[in-house]
Formats: sequence, C-alpha cells, structure tokens
Amino acid sequence: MRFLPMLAVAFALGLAFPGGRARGEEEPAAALLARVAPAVVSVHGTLEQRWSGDGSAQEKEVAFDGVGAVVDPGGIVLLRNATVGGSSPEIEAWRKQNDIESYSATPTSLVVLFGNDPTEHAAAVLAQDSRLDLAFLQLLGGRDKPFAYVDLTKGAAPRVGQELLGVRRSGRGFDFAPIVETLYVSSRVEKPRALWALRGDFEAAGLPVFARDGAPVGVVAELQAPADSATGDDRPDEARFAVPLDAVLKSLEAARKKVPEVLAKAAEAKAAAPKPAPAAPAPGPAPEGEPKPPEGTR
Amino acid sequence: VRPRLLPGGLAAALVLCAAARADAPSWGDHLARLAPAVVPVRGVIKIHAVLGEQSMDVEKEGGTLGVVFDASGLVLVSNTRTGGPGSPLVKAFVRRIPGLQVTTEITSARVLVGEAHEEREAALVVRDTTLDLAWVQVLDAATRPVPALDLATPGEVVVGRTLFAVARMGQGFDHAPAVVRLRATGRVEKPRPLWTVAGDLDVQDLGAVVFDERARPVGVLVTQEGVGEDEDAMPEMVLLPLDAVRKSLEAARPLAAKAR
Repeated sequence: MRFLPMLAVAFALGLAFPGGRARGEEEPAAALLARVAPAVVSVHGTLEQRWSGDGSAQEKEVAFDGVGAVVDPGGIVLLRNATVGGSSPEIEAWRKQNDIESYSATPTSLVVLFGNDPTEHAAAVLAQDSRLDLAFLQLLGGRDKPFAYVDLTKGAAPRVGQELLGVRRSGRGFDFAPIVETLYVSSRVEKPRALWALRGDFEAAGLPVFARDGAPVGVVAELQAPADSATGDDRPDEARFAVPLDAVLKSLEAARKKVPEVLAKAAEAKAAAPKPAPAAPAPGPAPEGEPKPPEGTR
Repeated sequence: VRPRLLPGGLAAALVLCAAARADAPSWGDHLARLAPAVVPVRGVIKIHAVLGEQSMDVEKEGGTLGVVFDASGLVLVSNTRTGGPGSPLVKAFVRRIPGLQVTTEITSARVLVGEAHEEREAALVVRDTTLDLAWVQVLDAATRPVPALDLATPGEVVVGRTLFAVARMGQGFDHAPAVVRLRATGRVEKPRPLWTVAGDLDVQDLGAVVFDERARPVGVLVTQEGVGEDEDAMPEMVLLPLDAVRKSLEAARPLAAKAR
C-alpha cells in the first residue's frame, strides 16, 4: 500500500517512464537541433522562367537556394513549392502589378546538400501540391545507409497558444549551420481548410515544426486566402500556417507513388546523356525597365 | 506517526498541484471566452487628398479589428487602421510630402457579430486622435445587445512577463480568432504613461485588447509618436494602459447615445 503514494509522486514529477522521453516531456531545444538537423537539407538549382503579357513573351534562367527536410528514409525531400517554381504570394503580386497573363517556372537542375558537406546530390521533382505550397523531391542515386529523416507519422496535433520549435539552415556564408527557432500556434482556422496559424521567429516555409516534446506537429506554409474571398482590400489575406500532418501525409503518399516513375526517368536520362559539352554563356539580364519575376526564394 | 505522513502528504500535494496545472485555463480556453467581444469591423472610407492645385478622391473598402467595450454596442477600433487623419501614422506620411493635405470620412461601417459574423450597421462616433483610438456604435444594440468585454477586473503588467492579445484572422480565413503573444519591455511616462512591447506584432493588431496571463485586460495596442522626434521617425506600436482607454470610453458614451 505504501507503494501507491510513491507512484503518485513519480507520476506527478513525470518520472514514471524511466529510460525514455514520455510524451509531453520537454526535449531541450539543443537536443532537438542535434536530432533534426541531419534531415534538414539545402536545395539549390536553376529555374527556367517563362512569362507573357502585353503581347510579348519572355524567358529567363535564375538560380535558386532553398531548404527542405528529408521525410522518408528512401530520400524524399519536402520543401516549399514556390522554391521549385510553384506560384507564391510574391509571384502573384508581381503578375498583378505587371499584367502578366501567363507564367511558368521549371527547375532545370536540382541538387541537395547535407549539412556543410559540399557533395551535391542530384534530385528530381516528385510532386507539387500547389494547394498547400508543398513540393517533394526524390534524391537520385543510392546511398550506403538510409537517409536521416523526420518521421511525420509520429506526430501530434498542436493546441492554440502552444510554443513550437523549428530547425532550418543558415546560408552558404555561414556554412549552412543549423539553427533552432521558436514560434507558436496563434489560431485554428477551419476555412478554406483546417490549418494552424503561426506567429514567431521561425518562418521557413516547407519545413516541419515540432512540439516541445520533439513530436512534429505540422509543416510551415505561407498561404493566401482563395481569390473568391476578395474583400476590396489591397491584397488578399495571406498568413503563415502549419499544415496539419494528416494533410501532409496524404500529399506524401501521393508523391511516394511516383517514385518508381521518377527514378526510371532519371536512369533513362542518365543513360542517354551525351558527354559534357563546354558550358554555354549565361543568359543576359532582361532589358532595363521590363518586368522581371521575383527570384528564387528560400 | 508524524514523519510517516510526509510521503503521503507530499504525494497528495504534488498530485493536487499537477491536477491544478491540468485544470488551468489553456490559451484555447481564453480565446473561446474572449473572442465573442473581438469583432471584425468592415467599412468604406473616402479619402480626399490635396497637393497644390491637384486633388484626388478615393473610396476604399477595408476591414479592421474591433473590440466591444460595452453591451450598448460601443466598439473600440484603431484610429490609425480606420484612416484617422490625426493618427500618428497618417501624420508621419503627410509630413514626408510637404503640402499634402488629407481628409478622410467613413461613409459606411458594419460590425460582424457572432460566429456567423452577422453584419450589424454601425457608425463612427468619435476619434480620440491623441490616444489613437476611435469609437464605433452598433446602431441597433439598444434592442439587440452585443457580447462585450468584461472590464471589471483589470490585470497587471509586469515588464518581461508574457501578455497576450486577441485578434482575428482576415476574411479569407473566416475571421478565426487568434492569440498574439507579446511582453512588456518597459514603462514610458512621456508623452503619456505607456508600456513598450515586443512580440511578433503586425499593424493589423492595432486596436487589439491585451490581457495578462490570467486573461484580465491591461490595455490596447496603439501607435504613438515620441515627443520631439526626428521628422523621419515612425510612430511605435505600444500598449496604452486600460485606465486611459476607460477615460476615452467615458468621453465617447454621450456621443454614442446620440448615435443610437
């Protein structure tokens, strides 16, 4: 009988699960950083942008830098759709200001870097989900061990007001050092779809965010309200959200189905590739005064 | 016998503490309780700008955050967010273009009440340009009261301690209620008693009521200019203490009664 009060004490102090972190128990930010950072990667490439308006058509190649997270041991990388050419609030604002009728952007080269290792790993776009502003890449080429990854199936739903953590990478100038930042859930939105509105320091769209116990709770996205909700204000409503994990996982499942096709295409392209030729001169800048789309976003 | 009581007593105390912590209202609870008095306000503003011999008229629809301060339908909005000509932000822009004169008029206003965002006709009653506040009256509130904020127990501001404001998302996100965390960073006495604040704040949060950790109101987010500031200095977002807001409310009441 004396055991019962001690058990109560143990529960009250959160000591009832020795040997492992219990759900709800805090993971220090530094520990989360160390655990998650290997799965947070830098993404680099070139986008071929084409646009037309006022009867003229233009095209341009731009380099882009982005950040993503490996979410599958087979090498699937999750990132912001706008990074690999999907539309974004910035692009839409630019189109509106310059009367651009059509716009497309296609990645023509894509590499992924792990940490500060300069080895470039070729990748290909697997799927793009413009509704959630998320995209999935497939790392091409084998690896002798599985990729470090964030397991989105072991997540939890956040609560309004809950403090969260996110891990991103600094730029090349700071050797892609991993950084942990805080944010919090500001609101639960039901329309146009279930989302968690976010505020705070962490702004890296396309990356997962974590509860204080280390469980992933969603993926950051900068989303605009649908056009039909126009209010007469200067710009449509736009905010930073955590896309709930069930929606991300559905999107990931759809992307997984395309892996064999993308890998086969990449293998074909590699087999058919001619020997490297001297590099063509870089395309010149668009003439002064002509509209240019916003360049690659992180 | 006494020492033997210790483990059991300690256990009970700890269990009670843990239970009390679990029962403490969550941010979600605070939001659910406070959000009905935090209302979207929509309206049309007519802007008349004159520069030398040139003039321009623009009519623009927009929205802002309102807080029902009184069940009689008196709603607080930001003077800056409703285009108040005397607002520090507008004054700062006018100062940058010498000779520019701007006048504004709210030509229609609606307060969106309840979960269904029922549109209720409203009218601008008075602007308090010094405090960057404006008061809007829901016209039929005498017969159909509006859920109002409970001001009976004011809260306490302690520098460094967490505060929160209740805001709303935009129309495109169905005006979902939102919690905005901030903290007081200092106390200012001039030009008037104010709290400086830090947090991930947005200009759209102007007019939001701020609460302490126990969800008691402590003030309103406004913009203020410092005394004798450089011409290029922009006004700062600060926390106007609740007692100043209350005085403004009392001054607005007789005018609101006329509008009803």
